Amino acid sequence: MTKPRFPTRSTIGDELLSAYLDGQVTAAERQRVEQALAADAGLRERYDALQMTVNLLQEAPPLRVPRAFVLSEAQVLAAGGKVRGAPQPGFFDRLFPRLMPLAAAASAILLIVLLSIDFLTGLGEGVAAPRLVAQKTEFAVVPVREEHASREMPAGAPAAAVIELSPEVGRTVVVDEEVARTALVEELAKRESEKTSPQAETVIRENAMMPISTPGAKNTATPRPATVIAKMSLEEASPAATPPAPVAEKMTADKAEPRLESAGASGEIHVTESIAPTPVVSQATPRRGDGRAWLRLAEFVLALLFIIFLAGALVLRRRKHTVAP
Amino acid sequence: MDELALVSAAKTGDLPAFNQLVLNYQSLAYNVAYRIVGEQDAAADATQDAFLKAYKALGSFRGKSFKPWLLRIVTNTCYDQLRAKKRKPTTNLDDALVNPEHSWRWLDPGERPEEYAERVELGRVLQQAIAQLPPEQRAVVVLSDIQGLTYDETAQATGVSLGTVKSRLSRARAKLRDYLQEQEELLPHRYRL
Repeated sequence: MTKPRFPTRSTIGDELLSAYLDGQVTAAERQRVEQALAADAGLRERYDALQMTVNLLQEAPPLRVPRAFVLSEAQVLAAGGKVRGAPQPGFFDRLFPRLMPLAAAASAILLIVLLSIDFLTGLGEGVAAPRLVAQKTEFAVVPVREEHASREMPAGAPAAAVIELSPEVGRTVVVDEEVARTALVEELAKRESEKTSPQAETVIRENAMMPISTPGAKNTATPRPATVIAKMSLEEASPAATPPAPVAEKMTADKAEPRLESAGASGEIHVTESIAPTPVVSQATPRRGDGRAWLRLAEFVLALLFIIFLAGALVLRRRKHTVAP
Repeated sequence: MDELALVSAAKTGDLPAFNQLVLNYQSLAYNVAYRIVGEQDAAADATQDAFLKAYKALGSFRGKSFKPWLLRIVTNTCYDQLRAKKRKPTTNLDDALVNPEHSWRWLDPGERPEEYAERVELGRVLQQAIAQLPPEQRAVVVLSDIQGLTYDETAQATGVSLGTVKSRLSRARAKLRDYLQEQEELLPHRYRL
């Protein structure tokens, strides 16, 4: 423990001594302090040091001002003040500095919302895409592996489906059996439901003009870009449940749905279908793609607006703080 | 034109009238700001900001005395600066020293150079001592003991009660006394406690 600087028995504190020094005490307090000072050398020493400190503070030399702090019109106007005789800023001049940060914030919020929507719908599409594409387009997204069109499926291969594409495509896509079966069943159901729609009728009418596609004659048929011949090999295909021999039927206007045919003993199921490329492909993705394109455009515009508003706000703020005196 | 007439004119947007008030008080405002923030550049910024704020806030001036009203704006601006500095601390050694170009004012034309030098040294040591105090005590001791404001004016300028001024002032003085006694060798001979 350190030795007290001013050993004293007095109960008079620094606050009363300080007030006494400034003459800010009552008559009773003054009398009490003076009696204590007369009787206590330690208290007197403390008081003297306090008085000396105040004297030093009063002697502290003032600094010269580095410059004049007079205000200029520009300074006052930039800070939103008014000056008599000076042209007052117009409505938009006053509005803009306040509007810019708000607009930047609003565009940022909207941008975040749009990006969230984009991200979430993108996730959804990511899950749904393989099935959609397997049903509708030549370039299936679901293949487990790809093989050349001429390659034969080995006998006793595990349950798998082979979808042969047109000669122009020139490849065979091997997909998981379950996926192919689901795709075919869904396609059949969808065709059934679309039978009466005008678009389906158009497809059907176009299909009716196409050459017959059969498993045996597929290479001799006139190759058409959008003709898809799907051929599914199933090891476990039951002969009892399917016709004994391959059947190829010409598709007519009233029978335009894809057909699931069994090879019976060969264990093959043939699905023969002619699909006009444009209508079918355009059913699969275009509407969603258009929406996405608009979304992207909106995101781009909002990002641009955000940058413009933010830059404007920063420039106005900077100008406000750097107006020359 | 007296002070209140200048204030009235400035309230109507008469900038030259306000600038007359600026010229009258800029030394006081700058010195208070320097003692509180402890750096010359920061003090100049605070002083300029305070005058600008004062001009814009003149409509709210209802008192009889312009000085404590203005000094309240100055001290509040200094507190803002200290808070900002606390958030973004920067070490500028140049600021810790007094720029010779803005040196101490020569108070008395008859003062001898060595006396002036001693007084400058005293000012430096006092600034170190004041910098040890919390900002609230700093403001009170600067206004009351260095600038010579009365307790009432100090209370108005700091926005606290008279009792608070007394207690802050006594605590600040006691701390300064202890500091100056500990650092006695730094003080010029004739100023030692």
